[in-house]
Amino acid sequence: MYGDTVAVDQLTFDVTPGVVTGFLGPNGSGKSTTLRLIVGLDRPSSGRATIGGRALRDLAAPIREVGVLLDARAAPAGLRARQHLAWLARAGGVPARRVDEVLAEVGLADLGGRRVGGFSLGMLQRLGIAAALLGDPAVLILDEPVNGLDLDGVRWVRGLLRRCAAEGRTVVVSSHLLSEMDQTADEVLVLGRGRLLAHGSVTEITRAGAGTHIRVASPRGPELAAALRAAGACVTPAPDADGVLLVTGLTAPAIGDLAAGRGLALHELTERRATLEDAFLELTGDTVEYQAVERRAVDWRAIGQQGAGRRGVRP
Amino acid sequence: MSRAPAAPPGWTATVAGEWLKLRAMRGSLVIACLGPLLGTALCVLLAVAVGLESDGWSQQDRVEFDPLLFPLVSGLVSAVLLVVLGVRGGACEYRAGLVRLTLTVTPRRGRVLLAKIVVIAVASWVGFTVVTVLAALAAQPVFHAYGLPDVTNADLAAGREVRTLAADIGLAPVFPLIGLALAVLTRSAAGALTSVLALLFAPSIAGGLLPAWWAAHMLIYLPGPATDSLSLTGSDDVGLLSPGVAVPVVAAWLALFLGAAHRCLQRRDA
Repeated sequence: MYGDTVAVDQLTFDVTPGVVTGFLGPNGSGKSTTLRLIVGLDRPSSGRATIGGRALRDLAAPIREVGVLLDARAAPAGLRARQHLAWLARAGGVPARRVDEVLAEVGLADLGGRRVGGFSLGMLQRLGIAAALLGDPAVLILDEPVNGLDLDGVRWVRGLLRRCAAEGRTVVVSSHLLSEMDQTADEVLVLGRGRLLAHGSVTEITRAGAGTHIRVASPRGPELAAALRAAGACVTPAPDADGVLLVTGLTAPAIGDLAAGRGLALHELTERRATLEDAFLELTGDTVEYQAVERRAVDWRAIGQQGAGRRGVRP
Repeated sequence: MSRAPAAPPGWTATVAGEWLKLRAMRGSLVIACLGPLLGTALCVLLAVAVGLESDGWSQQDRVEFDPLLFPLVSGLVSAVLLVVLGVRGGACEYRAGLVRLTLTVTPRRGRVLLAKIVVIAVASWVGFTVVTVLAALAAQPVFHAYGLPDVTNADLAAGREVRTLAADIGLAPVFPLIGLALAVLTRSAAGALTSVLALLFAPSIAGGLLPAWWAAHMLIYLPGPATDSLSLTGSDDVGLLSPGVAVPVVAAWLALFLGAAHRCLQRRDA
């Protein structure tokens, strides 16, 4: 809690090694607070966060077990990049040779002697990632690591995260760039107003989204629609084509089997999966803390139309 | 991913890390250059002023002139610069959120503060001593030029000079450490620096405005007068605390400020 504000509420989850876990949520949803709680910078009024069963302060060599990037701008402007990593290495009990190794790994090998104050945000992100990698940790916690990076940098971070997960590391990444998370994360946690709204694989989350549907076309459309409704599906005509149905509540194989059983020919049977962005907006629609007044009015209308829609998948 | 258990970095690693951090900062380099330069210049300037006036001195004045303690005037400069160093040692953590990185590398917050205390204390002792020695060496030719007794003529038999020198050097970290504590408490370099300078100079300003009883019984227990009581031991100044009282008073002030900083660092979100 911050004063009277509940920043994180009843939040329980486990993160598994070997996959990239994305941390999603609108501004003020408690993402950064949760990460800060995990690494012991904030103290929860109740509950606990552990890494491998222990609090960070109880780890023998924290930097060699958990690599953290919370704020790329936290590096002192007056220090040179190599000096910044050198004090971290010394304090963390990491061999000094790792400094040059990680500088090379993040593409800053030639800039080790330059003062951090002259770095762009993208270079600061790379330096922050270098600091997180310094101890060759089994757990990586990165808050918005692609902020300020150019396309090449984004692709590099994407590859780095995938590689770290493939090596068996636990990778937790917070980002508001949903398209990026869609490509990078294996699992996602969606937060809203400090609560867990959804936790699962990207496929599970997007499949659960209202935007996911099966597009079905048949020359005997009305007959098929009646059969599908009788089977419990929700059927609506597609707005963009005559005779095409949009079906939710049944899987594509189930629809195919049903049609075959009744001797109904199908000309199209396509699953259209909602994007992570669609699922995210649906999940967090009424938990957005900060938004412009005009947008808010539109969103409330939209939420009113949706009614008591599906609001997430609990693990 | 399995790996061999990592060897825990000891508290000396935290001290080394804090030292590297403080040393690498550009402001520290400026302080390290300015301290000897300004301290020596001030000492030489005052030595010339004393030399110019020494023509009118009596034999008694010449006997009372102390060439060994004179270079301590450079302490005026080094004291202020060391306070700035102490404040920077704490405030650098809060300017851009560096504290979050520091505490993820060393989550034991008490150890971080202890490391900073060690670094600032040692830097203060070394810095104060170096500036004083340089000032003493620079002043000797001036004393010689004006026919004043130089350091080779100092009479160490009474031990007064040695005690005063030892006290001044020993007390050098007091105000830098108070500056460090205030920087942790206020999270602001400006706030901490203003507070320390007020603590240093307010008693002498307020002393002239308040009734004599206040100056004699209250202000004298503030950190400035208490440290003066130790560094001026053996002088004829009246209104100073005895060493037996001054030492616990100074220790209590340090414990109060550093204890408050420790408590604040432990309890506050980073």
